Amino acid sequence: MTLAALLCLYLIVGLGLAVLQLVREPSWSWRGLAAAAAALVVWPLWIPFVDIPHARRQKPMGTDQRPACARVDSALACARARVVGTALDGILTQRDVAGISDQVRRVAARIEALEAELTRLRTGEAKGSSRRDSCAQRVEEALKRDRCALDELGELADALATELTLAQCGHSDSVESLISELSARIEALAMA
Amino acid sequence: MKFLIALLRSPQAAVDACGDVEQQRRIAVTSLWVIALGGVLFGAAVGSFRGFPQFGIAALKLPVVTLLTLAAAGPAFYGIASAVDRQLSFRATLALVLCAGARSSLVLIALAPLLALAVDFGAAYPLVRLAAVFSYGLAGLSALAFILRALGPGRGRLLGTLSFVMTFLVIGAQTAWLCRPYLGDPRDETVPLFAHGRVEGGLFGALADGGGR
Repeated sequence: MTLAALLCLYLIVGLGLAVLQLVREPSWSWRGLAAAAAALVVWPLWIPFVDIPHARRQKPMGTDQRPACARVDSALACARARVVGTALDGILTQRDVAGISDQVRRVAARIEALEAELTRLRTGEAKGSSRRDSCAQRVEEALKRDRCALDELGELADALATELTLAQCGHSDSVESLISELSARIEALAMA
Repeated sequence: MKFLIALLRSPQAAVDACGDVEQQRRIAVTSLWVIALGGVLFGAAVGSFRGFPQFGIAALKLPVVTLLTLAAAGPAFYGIASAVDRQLSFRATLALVLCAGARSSLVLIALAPLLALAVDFGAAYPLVRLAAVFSYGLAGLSALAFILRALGPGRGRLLGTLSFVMTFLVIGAQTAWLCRPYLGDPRDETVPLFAHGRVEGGLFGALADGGGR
């Protein structure tokens, strides 16, 4: 292959990419023209950077679930501290606390996965199709359920810590029912 | 502007920025502009030895040579970095190569007025040629320091850098040879756009021809 042929090939590829770059631009601008010129002349250096804003849009915009997990963990640690060395020790063992904590983390991971999927469905190329919309709706519902469940677990764990303090002072008889409810919810989440 | 200052004063910050997906495009755009500007200014300074139109022709040729060399050497650097166990994405690698190119271009921008001044004071052809080569050497050293930093500490750093330097030199020498002349030999009445009869073979063709004779 001669140098002229190689240059022609290089410029043909560049021309194709420059046209693509211009077509991708929503409206005419000097910026778009400069990008097309770069795609024509130095496409091996420029093209890898072209899709970055798109990639940024597609990045999952998930909410951070760590505060919710930390809230449950902290409440459970508090509740466990109240029963250690008392007659109520067996009612909430360290193993129970670890089990609940693990399950909460699983739910948090599930929420993040669902959020990422929802972002993908909403920003993907086929957005707007009825099948995709229905999928997005189902993911949204599942997400709502899991977020509610996580919030309720946090509230229950807080309530349990308070009830255990009251129980130590002999003013509470609902500790067992709270623990049962917490276990039932955890079990339901594990099966979901 | 901040990025350019970081590129010169704290290259580690620039290396770190190359790894940030959010900043890579901006880095690429800035670097490409700086490389083009550096080539134009230095080319104009070199070409001023023969005045118009060589002044403009060299100003166009030099950025093209630099960018074409980087276009071929950039993807090669990705392969070299992977071979020496550096986990860099393709975009990050190209951003690093562009940054190194921009750093050397900044040095060329700084040296271009000195070269133009030497030409203006009537420096002889061999001296101007030597000064241009020296300037390129200095610019190359600043890029080399950046590439060394980009590869980070650990095994394979020197091997990776040497491999890239060799690759870059071979590609750069061939591209520059094909696009010469820049300065314009004083023996030529009119400086040709490209050196006659040596376009197809390039540097290595010329070396092989020389060896055969």
